[in-house]
Amino acid sequence: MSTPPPPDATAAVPPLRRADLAEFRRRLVGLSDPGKKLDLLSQHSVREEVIDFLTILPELYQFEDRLPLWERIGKGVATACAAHRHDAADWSDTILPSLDCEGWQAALNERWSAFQMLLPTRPPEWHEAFIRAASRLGTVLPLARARHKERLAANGAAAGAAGKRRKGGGA
Amino acid sequence: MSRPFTIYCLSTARSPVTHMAGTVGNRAQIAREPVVTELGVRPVPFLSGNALRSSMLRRPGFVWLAEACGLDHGLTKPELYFLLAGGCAYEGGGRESTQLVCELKDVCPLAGALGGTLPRQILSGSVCVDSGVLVCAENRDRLDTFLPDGVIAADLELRPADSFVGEWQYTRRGGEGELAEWADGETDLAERARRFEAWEGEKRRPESPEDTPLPGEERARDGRIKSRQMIYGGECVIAGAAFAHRITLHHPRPPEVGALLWSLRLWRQQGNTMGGMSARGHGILETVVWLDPEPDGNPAAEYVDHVTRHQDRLADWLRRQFRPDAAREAAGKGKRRGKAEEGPA
Repeated sequence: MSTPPPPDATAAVPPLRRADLAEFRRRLVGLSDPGKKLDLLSQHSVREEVIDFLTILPELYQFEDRLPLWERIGKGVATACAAHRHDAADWSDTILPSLDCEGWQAALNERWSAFQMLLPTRPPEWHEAFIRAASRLGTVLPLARARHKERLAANGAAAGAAGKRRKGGGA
Repeated sequence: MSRPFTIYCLSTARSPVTHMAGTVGNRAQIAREPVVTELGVRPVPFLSGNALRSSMLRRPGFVWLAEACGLDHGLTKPELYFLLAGGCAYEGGGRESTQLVCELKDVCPLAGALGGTLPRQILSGSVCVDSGVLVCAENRDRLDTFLPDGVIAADLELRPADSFVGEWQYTRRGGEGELAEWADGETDLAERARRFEAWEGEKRRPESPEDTPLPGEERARDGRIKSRQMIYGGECVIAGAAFAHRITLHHPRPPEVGALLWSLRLWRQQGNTMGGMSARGHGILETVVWLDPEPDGNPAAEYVDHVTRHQDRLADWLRRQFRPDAAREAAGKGKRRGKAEEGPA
């Protein structure tokens, strides 16, 4: 009579999940999508465009109390991101109420108008990438705020220089 | 020279992975490494080799080992630190004892493979755990290194890293002020439960100027009652993303191969998690492996058997390294006992 094999002390612990090459490849399929792929440069520039767009919003802000300016911008963008994922025109339109800005007031802003005219020329995947990049508020909002401050400082310096020139001219 | 034993791993995230590295404001940022691409240097999310080494091998392997050797209640802090975190040299007069290294590899193959630092000697290990490389367009050219030959097809187009980054957000109730409010003479549990229910249903509660803020609420400047919940959040690598990583054992010996495979099995049994926020369900990975070369027999079972046979030697070895006085005393007692037994004969 043969003796039974000793019990395997490792049986209680699940074995490793082994895979062959085909299984490895199958798992990579979901990570590729040539149809929707943007090149790396576009990904980077989309984020830059989002930051530029966010610096337009302080110009559209109509509330008297400017203290919660970036809070309201952030909430407006978050709301728009939740509502629209495929069309940046609808998306941007949804932000305006949170700034207490009417459509006609926005239309008077040259940068806003230029942005709206740009949108129809962009492919659908750009719209999606733009909204996706804008939804990362923790990253883009501080950068937009810093850029807005730079713009204000540059405008202030330019206005100051123009003022000095005028004074100098008058003297 | 023996061929290295390599474990190729492909870990697919089954929940958001939050392997964090710092914060911006109150938002956690995931760890990123700079990668040179044809379009410039880009920061790409990754899993650090250090974290993988600890999560996949050291912690599950040594916790099991301590329990299997009956050491789980008898370890001092430096011993525990040596096993679970690699230890540190805290005594002067460093030395280099090859005998010690050989003995360690024999007594504890896992420590021999991972290495560590004893009070007076650094023991280099023989296993290299690479970083987890995100399977994305930026890493396209270097994935061949971290995956078995032939997995990456020439025409494979991957999505950019940016498309695998998402966000998470949770709320935490109140703060110190709220605790003080709850503690203020409120000992009636039924009353506390009633108020808590009212607080939970704050959105349904009609608000009037006479209302007083409940615990966890405050009156804002505009007179409205607002929740005082604290929002915290951050970035994550979204579920479905995958990381390629590799474990390489140089000069492999069967017990060390078994120790690595057994630790990986224990890691899988314990949830296969990686990174922070695992208490909230983050960091669950599904890992498939490819072994190169295919080991003979069942190395994990042989390793478990090895540990069972040498469990007393590990305890003795640890005592000699970390508590030499106690070890000498124990050895002296053994000798005296031996002589006493010999005496009457």
